[in-house]
Amino acid sequence: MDSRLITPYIESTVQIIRQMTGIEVTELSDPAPGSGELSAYGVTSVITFAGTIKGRLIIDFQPELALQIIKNLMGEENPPLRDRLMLGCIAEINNIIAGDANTLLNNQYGLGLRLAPPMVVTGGKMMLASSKVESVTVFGRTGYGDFKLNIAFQGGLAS
Amino acid sequence: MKRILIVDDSPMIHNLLRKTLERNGYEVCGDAANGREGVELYEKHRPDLVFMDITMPVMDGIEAVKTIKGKYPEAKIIMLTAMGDDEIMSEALNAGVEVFLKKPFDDYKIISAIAKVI
Repeated sequence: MDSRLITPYIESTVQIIRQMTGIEVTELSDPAPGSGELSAYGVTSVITFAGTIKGRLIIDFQPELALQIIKNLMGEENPPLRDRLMLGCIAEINNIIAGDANTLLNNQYGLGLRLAPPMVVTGGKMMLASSKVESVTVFGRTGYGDFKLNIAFQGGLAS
Repeated sequence: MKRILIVDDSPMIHNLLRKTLERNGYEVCGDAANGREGVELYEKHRPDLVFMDITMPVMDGIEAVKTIKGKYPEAKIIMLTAMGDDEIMSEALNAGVEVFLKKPFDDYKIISAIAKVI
């Protein structure tokens, strides 16, 4: 997949997590082509967007990291992970990350991407499958746990 | 005390923005989860200022701004949204918003924007 479509999501993730929660991403893998299936860590947010091309961003957090993010954002000492407000935090972070990256792509390449409202799912041993779009996965690490980004696009940039 | 209405589908934004506004001496007079609720609460409370998201179910923020400004041209609205590209910013400003802000936000960003409007 064209790296010009991927890099903004990776950079926005690192920057927004730091800015909103104070949590630093200490390690990032190189983007690897997705197989169409994603084995989820447990707290997973999905957001889709469409313009001249269609795309999707999945951010998947280990529960310990999701809890720390919520704790830092909301000031809750022991946040209940399945609470609507707490899950809404994870959805909104995905929304802000995707919005930030899409803003850059729209201004640079005129893609006209618009976001749909995000959704969050939780649970152990989930498998997310989508074989119809090309995707890449990036693994990230923080001091509180790991996360994955899965970025998918249908269509590409004009060269 | 100036009264402010928050229109956003994210409970987290309501929570964080309410805290920011209240610790800086503003009263939050209403919380709406979509544009239609925002229009209804604007008519009910006639707040001094509205913070409005764009991407929301039922009625989006641009449509809600047009509806409110169509009936109440004196309404003061700050758009606070995840997307901030040139096209969407221009659409929001053409709809009549006073200030366009991109999320995330901090106290300084919010209070500086309010100072420009009311």
